Amino acid sequence: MKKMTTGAILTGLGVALLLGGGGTLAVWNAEATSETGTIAAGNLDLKAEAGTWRNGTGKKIDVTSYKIVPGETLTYTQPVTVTLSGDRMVAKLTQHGSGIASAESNGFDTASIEVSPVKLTTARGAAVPNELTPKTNGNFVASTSFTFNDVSGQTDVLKEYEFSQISYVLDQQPVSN
Amino acid sequence: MRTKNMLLTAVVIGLAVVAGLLGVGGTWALWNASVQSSPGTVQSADFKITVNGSSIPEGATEVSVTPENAQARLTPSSKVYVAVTVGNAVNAGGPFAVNATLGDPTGRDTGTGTGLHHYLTLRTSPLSDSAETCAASTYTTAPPEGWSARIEKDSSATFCLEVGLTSAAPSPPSGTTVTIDLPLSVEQIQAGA
Repeated sequence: MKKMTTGAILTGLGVALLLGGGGTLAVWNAEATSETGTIAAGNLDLKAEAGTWRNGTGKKIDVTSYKIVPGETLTYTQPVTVTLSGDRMVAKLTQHGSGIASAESNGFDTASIEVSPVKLTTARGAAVPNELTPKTNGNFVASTSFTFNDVSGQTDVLKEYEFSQISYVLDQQPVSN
Repeated sequence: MRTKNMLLTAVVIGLAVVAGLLGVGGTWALWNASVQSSPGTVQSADFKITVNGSSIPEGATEVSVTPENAQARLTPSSKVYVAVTVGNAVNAGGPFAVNATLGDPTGRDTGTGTGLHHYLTLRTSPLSDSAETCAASTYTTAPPEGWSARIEKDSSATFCLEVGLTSAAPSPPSGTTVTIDLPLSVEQIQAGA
């Protein structure tokens, strides 16, 4: 009985040594490497270039020094560049905010002016598609206008109107899996 | 006991994720990007109209002008001329023109009230050539709507007032004065007009 036990232990050691030498107890097998490739993420980016103010004659103006008079309309246009990539990328471009009058003591009477909502269009003036994809991304144009209505007397001389709360937002839309 | 420990661990991990997200300002939203636009500030112009070089103060209803020759004395044989030069000094960014219109002049006694103004002859005329002086102007009857002149930005126009005294005027005490009111209105001309 003792010999049987000793033999069993030695056999066990022998198996253990086989394992240590890198061998296997499996039957035939083969190995192949799968080329799964690299996963690359897409892109979503938004840039607003410097805008341009023009007066009613179409002349480019420097709004920091230009003084508007009653009956005049100034128009601001700004190129907005959308970059999208991704096979199933869908995004939406929106505009938030509008002009805001400066301190009331030096702001225009709201009855004297008209400020158009900021409008986003394609470069050709068409409406921006509700859903943008990499095929439709590119350059868009944001525009707004400021009209100084006809007034009487010397209403609203030396007043100010500040456009300070305009932003453009590009939001990815959910992907349905 | 083991279950309690697992729950505690899960809660701690959850808190760590929330704290980490809050700490870096991240969100669970999809990609988004935003840009701020700064169109700037629109400013309105002043309405600086000058009369003989001096600005009309805002809200003012009267400005004084003096004869071209301050030493001139009004007699039945000598007239006094007054030049009224209206300047468009508005600091508008674009084209800006005004229309200046002169009304009919009227005289009134100043001070002692000798009735001298009844003997005044008053005529106005635009001065077509700025190189001339009012004394040399040709005075004709003013149109019913009064003389008017279009004045572009940074330009001016001159009107002349001729003051005469009829031969029937009594000899007033020396130093008697009259005030002549000369209505002047200046209006902005619509762009493109």
